[in-house]
Amino acid sequence: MGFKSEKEMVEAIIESNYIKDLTNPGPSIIKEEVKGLFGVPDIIVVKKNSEKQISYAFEAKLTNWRRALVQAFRYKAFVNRSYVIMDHDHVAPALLQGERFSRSNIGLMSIDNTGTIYFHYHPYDESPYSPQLESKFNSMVTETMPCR
Amino acid sequence: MKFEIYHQLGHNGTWNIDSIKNENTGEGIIISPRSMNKKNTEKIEESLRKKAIFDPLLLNPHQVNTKMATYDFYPNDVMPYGFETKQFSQYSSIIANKCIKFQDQNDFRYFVIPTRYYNDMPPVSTLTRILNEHFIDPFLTAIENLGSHKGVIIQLILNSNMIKNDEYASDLLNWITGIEGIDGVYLITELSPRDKQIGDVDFLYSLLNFVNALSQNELEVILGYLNTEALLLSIANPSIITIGSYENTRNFNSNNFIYDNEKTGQKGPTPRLYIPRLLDWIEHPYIDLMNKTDPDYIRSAAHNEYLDQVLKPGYKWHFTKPEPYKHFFIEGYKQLREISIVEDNERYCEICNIIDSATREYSQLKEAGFELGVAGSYLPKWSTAAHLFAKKQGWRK
Amino acid sequence: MPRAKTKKVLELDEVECSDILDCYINPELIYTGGQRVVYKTNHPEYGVVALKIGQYRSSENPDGWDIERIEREIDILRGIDSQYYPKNFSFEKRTDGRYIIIEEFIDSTPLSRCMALFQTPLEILELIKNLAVGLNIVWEMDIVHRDLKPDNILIKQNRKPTIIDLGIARSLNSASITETLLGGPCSRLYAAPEQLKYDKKSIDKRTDQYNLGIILVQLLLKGTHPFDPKIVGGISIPQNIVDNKWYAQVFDSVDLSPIRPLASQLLGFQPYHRFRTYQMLIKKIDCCMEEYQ
Repeated sequence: MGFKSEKEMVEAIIESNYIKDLTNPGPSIIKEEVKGLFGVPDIIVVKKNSEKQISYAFEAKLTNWRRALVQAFRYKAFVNRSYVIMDHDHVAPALLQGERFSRSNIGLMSIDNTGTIYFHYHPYDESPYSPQLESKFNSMVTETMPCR
Repeated sequence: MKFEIYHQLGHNGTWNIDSIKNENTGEGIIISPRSMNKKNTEKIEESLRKKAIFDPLLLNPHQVNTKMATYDFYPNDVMPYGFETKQFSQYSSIIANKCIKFQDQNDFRYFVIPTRYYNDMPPVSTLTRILNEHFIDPFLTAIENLGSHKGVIIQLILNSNMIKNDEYASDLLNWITGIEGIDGVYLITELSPRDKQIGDVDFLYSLLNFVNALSQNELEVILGYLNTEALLLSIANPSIITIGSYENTRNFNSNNFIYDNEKTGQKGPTPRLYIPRLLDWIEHPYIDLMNKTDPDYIRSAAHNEYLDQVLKPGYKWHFTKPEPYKHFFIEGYKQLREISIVEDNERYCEICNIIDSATREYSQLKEAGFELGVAGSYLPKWSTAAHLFAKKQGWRK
Repeated sequence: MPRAKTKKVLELDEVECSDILDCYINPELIYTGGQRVVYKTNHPEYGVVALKIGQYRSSENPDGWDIERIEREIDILRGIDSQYYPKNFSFEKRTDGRYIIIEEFIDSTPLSRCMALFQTPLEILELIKNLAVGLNIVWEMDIVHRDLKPDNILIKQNRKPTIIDLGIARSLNSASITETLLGGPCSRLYAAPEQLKYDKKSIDKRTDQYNLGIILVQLLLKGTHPFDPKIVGGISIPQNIVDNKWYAQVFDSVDLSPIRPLASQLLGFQPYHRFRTYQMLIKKIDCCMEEYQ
C-alpha cells in the first residue's frame, strides 16, 4: 500500500538510508520547500567538499510523474542533479517513459512505505543552466537557515 | 485589410514611446490615465499624440489612483459627494463635456466614449440602457456640440461569458451596430480565469466571430490588452491590434484596476523573453538553457540588440527591466507586420503555418530534452479556433 | 347618378359619408373596405386629391380604425415633402366617430398588382434603390416603417414608387406604444425575424431593409415569395423567415449572381448582418446596378 500524502512521502525520503548516505560523510545541507528560485523543490541537498559542491533537488509525487518531470526540469536551473521520486506503487507509468527522463537528464526513483528507495535512472552531473539562479541558490544555501 | 499596431501603454510607457520613435515598432499608442498623469499626457510629442487613442478609464468610478486624479473628468471630482451610481445620470453630461473637452484639446486620433465594466451578465437591455444613459448619449451630445468631425469610438469591456453566449453576443452586436454616429469600437475582453496564453477554443472562436461582425459592418475595431493571441485574432480583420510590455497591458484583468496596484508588494512574475517561433514568452532560465545548448537557436529566432543584452553573461533578469520588453516590441511588431500585409484566406493560411511551425518547434524541444510542461499546449486550440472561423468564412471546407 | 351609386356603396359599408361628399364635385370611389372609403376628387385648394373617410375605434365601434395609428401616420407625413410619400393636406377627427384625410392623389397601382412591370435586373434594382432613398427619408427622422410590402408601395406611371401606410411606423425615440402580436403589428408575410420573434429591442431601420430584401427577391422570382414553402419547403412563410430558409438558388444563375451579395445582406438574419448605414446600402445597390449597365 502506498503513501497517503506527499508530505508523508517526503518525510520518508528524508529518513531514508539513501539521503543519509548522500549527506554523510562531510558537510551537507538538506532543506525542504526552497522558495524564490524556479519552482519549489520538495527537498534539496547540497554536498560540499574541499574541491567541489554538488547540489541535488528532488520532486516528490504520489502519481503525477508528468508534472514531477516538468518541476524537476526547472530545478536543473540551479542544481547539478534533479530527481523525480514517485510512490513506488505508482511508478510503473513513469517507467514506460524512461526515454524522456534520459533525454532531459532527470533522475527517476521511487520509494515504498518501508522507506526502501528504488533507482530507475541516474542523471549525470550537469552545471545548472541558469547562472543567475545558480548564484542565488548558492547564496541561499550558504546563509544560516533552519535545516534538518 | 492591413491593420495597425498600437502600444498599450502602462507603467514605463516611455519604453513603448521610445521604441516607436527609434525602432518603428508601432503606429501609435493607447494612453491610460492610470499610468500617465494629465501633464505627461499633454506633453506627448504632437505627432504621436495626434495618432494616439486616449482611454478615459471610467470603467470603475470607485477606483481613481493619483495619476487619474490629475484629470478633471472623474466622477469623484465632479459629483459633490463622490461617486454614487444612483446620482451618476445627473452628472453624466458634465463628465462627458469635460472628458470630451480634454480629448479635443489634445487632438487625439478619435473621440473615445468610455464604458462601465461588468463581471456578470446583466440583461442586454439593462446593460445597453445604462451605457446609453451614462456614456453614449451624453458623450455623443458633447461631441456634437463641439462640431467636430473626428471619428468616434465606443469602448466596450466584455467578459468571456458575454462573448461566448451566442444570443447575448448577437444582441450586443445588434445594439452596437445600430448606434448612430460612431465609427468604431475599442474592444477589451476579459477571460477569467485564464492562463497566460488563452486556450479556450470556444472563447477564441466566438471572439473571432464578434470582431469579424463588427469589421463587416465597416466599423473600426481596436483590440486592446492583447497578448500573443493578437496574431490569431488578426484573422478577423481588426483595424488596430495592441502590443504591450508588462503582463497587465497584455491581459485585461479587472482586478488590476485597483488603487495603486503597483504598491501592493506582489511578487513579480518570472522574467520572460518573447520567442516568435514559439509564439510565447519563455521564462528566462529556459532562455539561458537554449542559449547554452544551442546559441544559434535563439539568435536565428529573434535577434536584435536587446537579445544580445539579455544573453550577455552577468545580465540580471528582473521583470521590471526594459530589455525583454524592448526586444518584444521589435520582434512582436515584425511578426505582426508580416501578417498584416496579407488578407483574409491568405492571412489565415499564413497564421496556421506559424502555429503549426511553433507546434513542431515545441515537439523538437521536447525531443531534445526540454521538459517545458504545458508550454505550447494552447497552440492546437488556436488552430481549431482558426479552422472553425475559416470554415464559417468559406475559406475551408 | 354617381351620387346614387355612392349611396349604395355606403349602405354596403355602413359608412355614412354623404354629408362629406356633398362638399365635393363628382367624387369617384376608388376603394372601399374595412370601414373606410377612398374617393378621388377635386379640391378647390389642393387639386386632385384622395379623400379618405373612415370610422375610428371607440367603445361604440370596437372594430373601427386605431385613431392613434392614423394620427401617427399623419404626423409623419406632415413632416415629409418628398415624391416618395403622399402629401397630407388635412386631417380631421370628428366627434361622430369618423375621420377625414385629404392627401395627394397618386395615380398608381400597388406593386402587388404590377410586379410584372419590373422585368430586368436593372429595372428591379432601380425600384429597390428608389425605395431605399424613400425609406431613408423616414429613417433620417428616426422612424422605422415596419410594414413595407408590395401592397404599401404604389407605382406611378413613371415607375417611381410612393410608400404608403405609415400607420405602424414607429419612432425609435418614442416610448413604446401598445403592441399586439409580433413585437408590434406588421404583415407576417413580409416581417423580419426580429418582428416575428417579438424582439422589440432589435427592431430598427434595418428591419425595413429586411422587408426590402423580400421584395427584391420576390421581384426577381417574378412574384413568387422567396420564403414560400412551395419553393423552399417548410410549413409557412413566417416559419421559413424565422428558420432563415429562403430561395437563394435564384442567384445561381449567371444573370442574377451579381445581386446575391446585396440580397443576402438585406436578408441577413440578424440586424447586424444587414447594412449598418444607408450609405453602405446605396453603395451596394449602385455596385450591383453597375454590373448591368
